Amino acid sequence: MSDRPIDPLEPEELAGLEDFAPDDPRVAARGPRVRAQLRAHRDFVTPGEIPDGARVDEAEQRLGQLLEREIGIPFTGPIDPGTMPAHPIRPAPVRDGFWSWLLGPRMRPALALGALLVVLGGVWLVRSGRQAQPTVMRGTETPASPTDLASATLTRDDGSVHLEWLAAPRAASYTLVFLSPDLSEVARISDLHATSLDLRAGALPTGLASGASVLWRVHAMSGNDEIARSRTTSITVP
Amino acid sequence: MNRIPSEDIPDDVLLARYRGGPDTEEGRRAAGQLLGRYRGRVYTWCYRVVGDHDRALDLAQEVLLKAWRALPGFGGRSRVSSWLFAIARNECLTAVRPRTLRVDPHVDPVELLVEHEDPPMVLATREEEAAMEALLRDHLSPVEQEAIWLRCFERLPVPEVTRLLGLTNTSGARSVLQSAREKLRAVLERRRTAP
Repeated sequence: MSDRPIDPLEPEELAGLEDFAPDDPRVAARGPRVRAQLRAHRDFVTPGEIPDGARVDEAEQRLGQLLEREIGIPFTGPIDPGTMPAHPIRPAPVRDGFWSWLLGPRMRPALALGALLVVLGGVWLVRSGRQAQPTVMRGTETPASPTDLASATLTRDDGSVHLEWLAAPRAASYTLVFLSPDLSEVARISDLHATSLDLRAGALPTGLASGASVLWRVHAMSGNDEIARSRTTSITVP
Repeated sequence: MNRIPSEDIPDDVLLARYRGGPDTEEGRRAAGQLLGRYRGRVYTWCYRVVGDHDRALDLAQEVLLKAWRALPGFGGRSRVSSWLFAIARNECLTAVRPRTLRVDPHVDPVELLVEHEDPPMVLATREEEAAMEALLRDHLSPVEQEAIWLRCFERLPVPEVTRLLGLTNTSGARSVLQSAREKLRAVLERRRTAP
């Protein structure tokens, strides 16, 4: 018999796989260990329904106080967005008078119609705005499209960096954008038709310097319209 | 320039701001935002594993403290979420099983899975886990493989395994685990009777 420490999970084991579903063929080949841990990681990031008995509000408050004490900065952070689904568990507020009438079942069709009109009006405004001026993408803008394009980064043994993303339906091309840590754009590669790109020292796009830390993301384009974009993630340029 | 609301700033950007001046007010504020945005999720994960509010809160505090102290050395080779998950997962596993494990090299890993409810108590090394992975792959369906792994190695309670795998049958992961164990028991029998 011998005593051995428990086997820890190294975060790098999941690096580059976080955007893939556990049953994605690229993940399935990795075996049950990675699949199960990836599934657990996804649940960690997006917990869904909070388990019975968990007191998330109280925990968030206490943990916020802890961070404030340790870091030495007044902590005014928002509620952890990942646990927001927990909050509908709270009892619904009691309504009376005008609000009870307005939000009651009788008024729901009218409210639904109103909401639909607002959405349609918003779509019309966005579309007319896009026709009036060409699409301009800047790294500091609030994302105009959902960050729903799965992407992954892999540093290979030879030092090259492999950037990969899933094809977006209706995408005619992809644009890669590289940003400095202060979010100013340093390089852009447009009109890509592949869903991956290798960065190699000695053959770098203009604006990228070997050894620099940059952020990258990919935009799926349909003509001049951006239809999806990936998360912004950091890499070290080979 | 449009300002991005703090909750929409990507983790990488907050990390870069922290690295730009770890001891400055802006760097510390970025670190607070970065760790703070995960505090509910860290607690929730801990709660899923231990099923007790006070214990989960203690564990979550420990995770965030470790993360704060380790932040200067975080290389950014994985996402912040993966890094924090690894810390939370390792902290929870340490809490629910002894710090060191008794490993008997003479025990057949298959026998452990079949005969013991708690194989990780005796299976610890990466080599043994690799052997176990190969065994599971060879003899179990993908769902059974993951169910066994989540239950035995990630130490998740059966209802959590059911939820994670999205199982909708009435017995949930319990029947999947039972089926997996029966298959492994058959493998063990074949090994025992093999010449």
